[in-house]
Amino acid sequence: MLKKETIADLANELHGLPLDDGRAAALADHVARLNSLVRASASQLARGDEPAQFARMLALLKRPAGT
Amino acid sequence: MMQDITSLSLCELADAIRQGRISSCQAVTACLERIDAWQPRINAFVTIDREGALASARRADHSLAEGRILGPLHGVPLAHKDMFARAGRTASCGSRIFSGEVAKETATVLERLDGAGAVEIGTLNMTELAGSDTPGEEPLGPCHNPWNTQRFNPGSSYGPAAALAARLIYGSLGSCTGGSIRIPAAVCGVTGLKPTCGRISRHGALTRSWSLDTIGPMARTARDVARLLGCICGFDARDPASSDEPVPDYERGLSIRLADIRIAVQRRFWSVVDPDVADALACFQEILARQGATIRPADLPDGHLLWDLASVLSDCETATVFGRDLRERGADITEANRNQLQRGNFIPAPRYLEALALRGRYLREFCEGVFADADVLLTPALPLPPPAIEKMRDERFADEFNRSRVINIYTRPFNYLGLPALSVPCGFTADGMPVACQLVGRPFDEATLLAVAHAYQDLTDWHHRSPQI
Repeated sequence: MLKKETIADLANELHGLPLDDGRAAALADHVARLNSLVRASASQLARGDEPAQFARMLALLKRPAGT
Repeated sequence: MMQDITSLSLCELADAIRQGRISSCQAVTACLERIDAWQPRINAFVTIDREGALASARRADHSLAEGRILGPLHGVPLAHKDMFARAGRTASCGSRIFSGEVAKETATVLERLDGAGAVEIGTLNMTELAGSDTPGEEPLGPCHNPWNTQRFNPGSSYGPAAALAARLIYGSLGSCTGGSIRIPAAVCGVTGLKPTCGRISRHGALTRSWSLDTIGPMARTARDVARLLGCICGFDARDPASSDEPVPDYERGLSIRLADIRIAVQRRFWSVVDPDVADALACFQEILARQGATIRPADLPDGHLLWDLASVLSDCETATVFGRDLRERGADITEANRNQLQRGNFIPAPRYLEALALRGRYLREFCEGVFADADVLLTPALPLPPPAIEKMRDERFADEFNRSRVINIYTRPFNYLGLPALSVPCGFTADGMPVACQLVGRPFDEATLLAVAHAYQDLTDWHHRSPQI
């Protein structure tokens, strides 16, 4: 997990904008949660061009005509 | 007489103008008078273009006198969130970083509204770069809810929602990355649509997160939203994500038999729900059931997982979009927003790619699970009434409130899934704050959401109520 000091240091290095302790801690909590999300299996993943595949899925799942 | 004009809905006004009962100039003048009364209290407008609006109104009236109707919005005063490009003008996007940047072309949605005959009366307040609001850190000053100016007014499209609730305009465009149309619409008691991804062109609008951003219409009634949607949607080659799905006649589609409609309701909520909100939701179901609609409990997937996945996309794309601004113009971005904008820098690329790759799979599972035997899903739009602004100024309270996700736990998951979702006013809390439900539909089925909302609004009057100054 990223520590709040690391977050604050990285923020400073990337943008020259130091974060105070409270905000760095909240940011660390937030990204730690997102980084611990599901790990998809290889078979669950698409094979590239995800935005186009998602658009096709939207079109496929629309209400069937006449219903 | 002038005040009466502002109590009309968009469609009622458009009909009255077309029939010559009210002129566009009268409508614009009535709006300007009302803006003068309300603007000091709610700060809904960023710019007010009195001369431009009156000149457009005079042209509309002149055209009508010559027998030429410009379109379905002939002479109707509108105003939009200040994030759409218009050639020769600067859109603030709620930020200091765009000052002096004059647009060279006009956003597709504004071009289409112009073509439909609308009159633009000004531009509306929004949170900085369409991010979350932090009271006390708004570059354009806070926009207050006209129902209660002491309550937190969440959602980045708060200018459109406040202006509609106070009856300052008849319709508006907002944008939504995680709930920024439905949430302010809910707390202000107006109707707001987040359409299917790709349904409305985003060309010329502020980009925050290209996977999740949508533009959507907001108005007083579902019929008004249907008319605005019909005017602006459809394929646009200038937006690479624009869909070429056929566009139905949304207004004609409003007439349905509720007996033909199946509504899924959540068996278990994704969060704590305020008793007043739960009661309003139950009444909504009861009213539709009495008209013959079928109500079915449904088990939904984990909304918090969908929320997290949306957050991965939003955080990473936002950090990318504004990375250069953070580095070069960081001092011109508020501290709260700087914090939001750099979150994506700490999320590894595999997490982002995974969130993208899983999107189609989760969409399919959701649709097959929920819409196999239902036409729409009913949820709260916002599970709790907004807290007092004073409370949100307390850093500890605000931190806990934001971590609880109550503000967008019912909206953000549907941005991830790309589904259309509509916020519909359905009551008030005991202390007088509007309550709304959310209707979610299959991809590109905005028509059914609008039809159900229209049927409900025919039977109720929540959407007709307006705050008193």
